[in-house]
Amino acid sequence: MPADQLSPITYFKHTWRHYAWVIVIVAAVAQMVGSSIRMAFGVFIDPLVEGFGWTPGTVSLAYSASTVVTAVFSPVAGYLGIRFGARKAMLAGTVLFFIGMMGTSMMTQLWHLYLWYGLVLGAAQSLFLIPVMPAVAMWFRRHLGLGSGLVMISWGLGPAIMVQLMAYLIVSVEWKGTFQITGIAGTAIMLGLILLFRNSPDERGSKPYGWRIGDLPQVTSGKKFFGKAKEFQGHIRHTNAFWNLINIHFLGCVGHAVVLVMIVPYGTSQGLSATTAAGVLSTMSAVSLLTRFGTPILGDRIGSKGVMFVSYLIQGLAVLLLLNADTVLAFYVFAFAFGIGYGGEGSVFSVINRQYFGQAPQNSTFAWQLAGAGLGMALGAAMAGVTYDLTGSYTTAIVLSAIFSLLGAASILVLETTKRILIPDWDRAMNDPSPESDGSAVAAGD
Amino acid sequence: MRFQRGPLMLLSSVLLTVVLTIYFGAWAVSANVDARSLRSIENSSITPDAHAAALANGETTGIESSFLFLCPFH
Repeated sequence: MPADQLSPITYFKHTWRHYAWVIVIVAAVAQMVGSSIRMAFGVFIDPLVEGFGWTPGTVSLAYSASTVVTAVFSPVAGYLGIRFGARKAMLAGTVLFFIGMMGTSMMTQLWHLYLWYGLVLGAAQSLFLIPVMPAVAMWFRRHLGLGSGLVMISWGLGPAIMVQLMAYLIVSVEWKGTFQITGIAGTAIMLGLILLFRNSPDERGSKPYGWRIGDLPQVTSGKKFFGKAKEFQGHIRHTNAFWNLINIHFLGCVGHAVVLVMIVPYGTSQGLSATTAAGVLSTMSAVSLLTRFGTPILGDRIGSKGVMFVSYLIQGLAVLLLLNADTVLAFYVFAFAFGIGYGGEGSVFSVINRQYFGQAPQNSTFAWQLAGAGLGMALGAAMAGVTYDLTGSYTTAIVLSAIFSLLGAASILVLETTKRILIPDWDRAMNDPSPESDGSAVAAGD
Repeated sequence: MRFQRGPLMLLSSVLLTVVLTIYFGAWAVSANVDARSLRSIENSSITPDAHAAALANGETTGIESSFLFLCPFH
C-alpha cells in the first residue's frame, strides 16, 4: 500500500524517528513554558491583593491587558517569524520573557505590573505562540493533523500542570520567588529547546514528514522565499476564507472564554461545593484534550470544514445546558459535552490553512487568526464579568456565549470547500525558474 | 463591486461587538450614575418633606444637582 494511503497512526509507526517529532515536542513544551504564567495567573491574584492592597479587579486588568497585547502583537510576531525564522523569533520571545518575569518579580507599583506582566510578557507570549505552529506546518508535508494535534494537546495540558506547579511554588517561595524561579527555569528550558529547534527541514538537510518521490523541492529560506511569501500573503488576503477564519476564531473564543471565567462561580451559586465546581472546570479541560488531539487528524482525513462546524455547534448548544443545571450530574454532563466542542474549536486552524492555502507559509495567516482569538478571549472574559455585575446572574452571559458560538458555526457554513486550494500553488511558484510566475491552482486532494 | 462574503462576516461580528459594548456600556454608566445620585441623596439626610418645605420657601438643599438617569435597562 502506498505510504500516503496509510492511516496517520500506521504511517507514524514506520516513521517515528523523523526529526519532525522533535520539532513537535519542542513546540509543545515551548508553548507550555511560554504561557505558564499566563495560564496560572489566577493563583497570583490573592497574593498580590494581600501583598499590595490592590483590588482583585485592578490585578485582573493586567491579565486582560496581557491578552490584548498578545492579540495586537500577533501580526508583528507573524511577520518576524517569516522574516527572521521561528527560531530567532522564539529567542526574542525568550529574552522578553526573562525581562518580563524579573521585572514583575521586582514590582512595587501597580503600573509596574501592567508594564512587565501586561505589556512585556504579553508580547513574549505572542512570539512563543505565533511563529511556532507555522514552523511545525513546514515540517509536515502530509499528516499535518497528527503533528498539530499533538502540539494542541499542550494548550490543554499546560494549564492543568502549570496551575499546580505555580500554586506549590507560591506556598514555598511566595509570589516573588515564583516569578524568579519560573523566569530563570523557563528561560533555561527555552534556550535548550531553541538549540534543538530548526525552522524547516531544509536547515537540517532533510525532507518534511510525509514527503514522497515526485513532490517538488521545498524552498523555505532566501530572498525569493521572502518575496514570494509576501506575494502569497496578498493572494491569501483576497480570499473570503482569510477574513472569515479570523471572524470564526473570534466568535468561538468569545463563546468559551465566557464559560472559562464563570463556570466555577456559577457552579457554586447553583449549590456546588468549590471543589466540585473546580472539578467541572478540570473535567472540561480533560475532555478537551481528546478533541484537541483528534479534530486536526479528523480534519486532515475528512476535511476541516465539517469538523469545525460540529465543534462550534456542540460548544454553542452544550453551554445552554447550564441554564437548567442545578445538580452535580447536570454540571458534569455539561462539562463532558462542552469539553468536546471547546477542544475542537481552535485546533483545526493549522490544518484548514493547509487545505485552503497549500504549502504557502502560514505565519501571517495564523497570526491574524490568533489576533482574532485573543480579542475574542478578552471580550468573552469581560462580558461574563460585566453582565454579571449588571444583572446579578450569569444567564445573560450563558445566552451570549451560545449566540457567539452558534454564529461561529453559521459562519463556517459559508466557508469554501476544503477540497480545493484557493490560491496559486506555492510549490510550483517557488520551483518555477521564472520569477514572475506564480503557478496555478491545483486540487488539494484532501 | 464584487460581493465579498468573508470581510462582511468579520465586519458583522465587529458590529455585533460594538452594539453589545454600547448596550452594556450605557447600562453600566446609567446604573452607576443612578447609584451615585441615590447615594448622595441618602447621604444628605434630607427627608422628602424637608425637601418639599425647602422648595416651597425658595431654598435649595443641594440635592437638586443629583441626577437620576433612571436606567432604562433596570
